[in-house]
Amino acid sequence: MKSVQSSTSLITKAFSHIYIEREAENYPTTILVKSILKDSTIIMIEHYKDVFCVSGQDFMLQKKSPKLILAVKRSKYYYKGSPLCNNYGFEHFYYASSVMNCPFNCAYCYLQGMYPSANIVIFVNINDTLNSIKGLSQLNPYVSVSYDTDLLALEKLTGFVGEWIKFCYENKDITVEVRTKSADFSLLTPYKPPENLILAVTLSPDEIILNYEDKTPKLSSRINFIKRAIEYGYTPRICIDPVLYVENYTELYTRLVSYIFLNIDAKKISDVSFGMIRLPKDFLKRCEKRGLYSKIFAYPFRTETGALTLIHEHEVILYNLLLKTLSGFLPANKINYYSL
Amino acid sequence: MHAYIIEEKTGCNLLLEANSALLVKTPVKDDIFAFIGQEDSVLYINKITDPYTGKSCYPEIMFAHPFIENEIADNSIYHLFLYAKKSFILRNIYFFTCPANQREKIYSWVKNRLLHIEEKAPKFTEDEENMIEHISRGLILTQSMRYDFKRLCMSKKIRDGGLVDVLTGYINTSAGSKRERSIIYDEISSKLNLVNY
Repeated sequence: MKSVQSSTSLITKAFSHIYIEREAENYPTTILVKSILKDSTIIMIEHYKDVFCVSGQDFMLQKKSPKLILAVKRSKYYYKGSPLCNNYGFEHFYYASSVMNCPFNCAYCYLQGMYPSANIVIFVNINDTLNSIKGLSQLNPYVSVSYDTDLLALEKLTGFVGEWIKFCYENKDITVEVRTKSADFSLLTPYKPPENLILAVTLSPDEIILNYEDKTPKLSSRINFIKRAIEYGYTPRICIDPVLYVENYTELYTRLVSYIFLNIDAKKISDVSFGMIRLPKDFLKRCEKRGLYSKIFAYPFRTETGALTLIHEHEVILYNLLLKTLSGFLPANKINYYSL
Repeated sequence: MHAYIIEEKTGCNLLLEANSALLVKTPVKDDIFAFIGQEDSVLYINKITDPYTGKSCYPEIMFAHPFIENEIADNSIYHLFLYAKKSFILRNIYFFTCPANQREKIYSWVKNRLLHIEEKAPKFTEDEENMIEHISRGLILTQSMRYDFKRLCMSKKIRDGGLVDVLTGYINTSAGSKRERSIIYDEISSKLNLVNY
């Protein structure tokens, strides 16, 4: 029995409550989480869906005070990659979902319309996911492991990125992508960089971070993260994705690209990948139903192959801008553009 | 905003009590449902189990509070929670136990919750509402066009902070035929959709 009190805030603090499936109780991740979040109230549950999938949840408020749910994934450890995402030329593109939802709160994130809850589910049986993906090795697949979350942002609680790094040492036929907006490189220093791990860092202009990427590190911190990663032996990918059509876009994106290459040696990165905002077709309706209102969504999107994206005119303007700016620093084979 | 507080009394049927309260006044979004059960200690309930089926439900603890949390096993309280969930948002359903002489603490916390409910959805001003209605009638818009028109107006308002500048040009416009309506509606839609930074 614990008391949850905060004199300064009306809402409980993040992870004030941890819901733990009985079956998940004795996994190392559960023990680690409990040892770190000592002050949280523990509530035992039978199945994560009893908390995560109930109706009437307030997604936006939960984003401000997410609870943690520790569960066991019982089937389907990986999925085919979405056509909304770049497969970087790999025929076999998959994603693994060992965590659902993200500690960051980006206004454009597709997760807002995807799950009934903003609470974070960690599937503690990561070894089952790793073993299952081992079975794909003969396909030489590309596996994105930080797809429905930012795995590195939760590394202190889960250690999952470390597990994927160790997995890469032993499974060289599988290319693993860890995409992140985190800035704490010390979480990766215990491990030697594997050749088949793509460390992809998403960057945005500071104005966009400030207005639309709540809780994420500022641009300079992410740049420092990339610099440390390079020093440590990684060849990171830089992702400018999604590119948004916002006021002063020319200035913002030109300044962003200049700032990146003022600080980072273009020869030391694998590539820069950029793409316009892309959202599932029914996303806006779901957001409206949930009372999610943002300037980003108040935009006349066009529907293309079952998804929403920028209207042609704006896409062309932004594509030309980014391509021209990036070409000043990178050869064409290091610039990746993904469009619907 | 309104708080529906159901207090357990000896021999009372909880579902009947709740039903009566909801019959007097129909709950609207953001109304609060609070249950106060009879016990010797003040507890904020975070898990309710039906002892007959072993099934549990979980009131969401979203707001800071000064109470001790615990779980409870009680068939009628379990069903009361399920009943409340049909009419109230999860974050606005609170279950407590409390001795009769200490209930003031709970009333005061619930009252404080009522004072801090925020309206998040953007709204049209009265002027904007009137203009939208006037134009819709002038153009004899169908129900689906009216819905679409309001949606476009809201997007424009969220994006640019206002929409009177666009609507003013159409306030005295009327359509004499479906074709004319379609031409004018397309024109107004493209103006509302115009994003040019």
